[in-house]
Amino acid sequence: MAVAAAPVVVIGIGNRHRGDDAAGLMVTDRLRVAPPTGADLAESAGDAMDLAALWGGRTMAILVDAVAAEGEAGRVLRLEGSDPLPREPSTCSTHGLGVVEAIELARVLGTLPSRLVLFGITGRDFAQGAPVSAAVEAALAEAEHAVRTELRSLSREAEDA
Amino acid sequence: MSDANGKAEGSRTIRVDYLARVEGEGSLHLGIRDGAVEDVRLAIFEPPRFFEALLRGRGFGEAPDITSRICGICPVAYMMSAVHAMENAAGVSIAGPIRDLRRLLYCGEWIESHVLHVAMLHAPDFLGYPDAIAMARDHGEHVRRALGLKKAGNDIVRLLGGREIHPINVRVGGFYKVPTRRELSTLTEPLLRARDAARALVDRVAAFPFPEYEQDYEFVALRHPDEYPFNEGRVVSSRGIDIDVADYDSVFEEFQVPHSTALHARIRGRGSYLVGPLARYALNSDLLSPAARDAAAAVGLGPVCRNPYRSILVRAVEVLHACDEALRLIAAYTPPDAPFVAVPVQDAVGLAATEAPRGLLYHRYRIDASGSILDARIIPPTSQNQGAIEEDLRRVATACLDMPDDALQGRCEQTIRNHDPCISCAAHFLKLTVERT
Repeated sequence: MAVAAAPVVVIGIGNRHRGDDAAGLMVTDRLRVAPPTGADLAESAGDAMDLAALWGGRTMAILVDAVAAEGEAGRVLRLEGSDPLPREPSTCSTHGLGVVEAIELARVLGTLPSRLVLFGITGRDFAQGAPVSAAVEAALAEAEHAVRTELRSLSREAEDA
Repeated sequence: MSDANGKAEGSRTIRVDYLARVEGEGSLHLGIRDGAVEDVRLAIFEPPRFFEALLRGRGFGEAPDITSRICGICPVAYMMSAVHAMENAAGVSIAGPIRDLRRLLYCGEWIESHVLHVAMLHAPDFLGYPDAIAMARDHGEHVRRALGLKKAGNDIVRLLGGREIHPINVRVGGFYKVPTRRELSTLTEPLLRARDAARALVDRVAAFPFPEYEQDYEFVALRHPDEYPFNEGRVVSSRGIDIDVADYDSVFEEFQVPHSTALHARIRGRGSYLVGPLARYALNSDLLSPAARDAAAAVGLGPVCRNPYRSILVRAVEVLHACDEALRLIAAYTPPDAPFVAVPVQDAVGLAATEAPRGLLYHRYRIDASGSILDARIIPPTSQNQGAIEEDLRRVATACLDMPDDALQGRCEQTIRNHDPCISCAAHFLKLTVERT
């Protein structure tokens, strides 16, 4: 777990052994090849308390996670922390409190970073031991680009401020 | 989440697709006919994970890291049972600072696991909320304190284990690296605050409304002459069992039931039993730290608690004990000369039981002269508790038949959560069906 004091943290979320659920972690793998400046890279299984610890005290958090959504696999979605999030009960968290619950809980407690962006990569197959689908594999570069663009945009905003 | 489907006259079905706040994949079926509970099945449909088969042929030193992957919540328990079993096979007994560090690591896990369950997963049942988020809107301070308290446990596991979940610093014989006194002392201040928070948690939980219900469980836990049990002790019960762990298989047995992929367990010739906080407390409350003992007395727990709904209170007391024990161990710590003791390989059987947060966790391995594991058997607490949970459900449902379906369903879910079942799989939900005919 990264605990350095950078104001921004990028958190890849997922499970490498459940097919497309590895997408978020694979994006942080790609980011790690040329680490962005001014941001920490971290990984999480998506537990709410783990996430709260990772983004605690940061001004911004970027989450990258596979999402189950209708439509084609391999789309990259962008959600702001201020957007309404689906509140289906968690079925993928080892603790019954997952990513959405982490965001909602932090919102209730007033501990959300001032900006939170979630990049979701729509997945198709989350079975145990399944390989990452070709559609998700093909979307990783787009997701990586989206994260880097977000970070550059944030950096420019900070310079302008 | 539930929906009600009217069936034939006099017949109703309640279906819950997802029960949050429990661990694992399973379902509950209650068959109610003519106003009587006929059939109770806590069915675990978690796919087999084959850990015991996976261990065959692996080196005995790999068992702690492999078995820790069984559970993301109590990996320390799996590691500890594995290292003790392997050391038992080799005839090695670890004492001194390494043993103390193991107990400290266990303190961290108990704090993490218990606080999560008490404050976030189980408390909403008592306070009338569907989940922790809804609860946090009205009880933000409670949740903030719990997060801080849990963090103290995380800090212990991270410092000793290398990371908070699935530690990587534990090995047969000890640790790969041990902390300096200075490193360990960084935990003291957070733990002092945690201890205050734990004491407040006991008081807060004690004020919850507890359903009136008692069950005459046979409690089973480890018992050590001097310590509230984590790592070792004799296996004792509230009805007279008092055996060395080596005799576990002669007293307890696993068996299969058609409706569950997880094995059940029973005392041979006697039936179900209960492991976990209620059992530990009933059999060891005299060994709690003075502050934990006082706190338990102050909230009226008494030496034995048979009300499973009050298990949340016992867990809170155990959190306070774990904070006290952690502080004691840190204050007394002197680093060992070496981080681990060499453990020789020999053709032997090794077994051990330790106290996971949810109860007694038994490991047994047979290894050959080269150190390869020939076979492995792991009996987790939830397997052992399945029978007792079903009996609870049968009695609770019988007593609550007059409740509307929604209320009965909620009470059944709460009853399951009393035992913090850890079905331990990557996707977690429990399907509950109540049929009334």
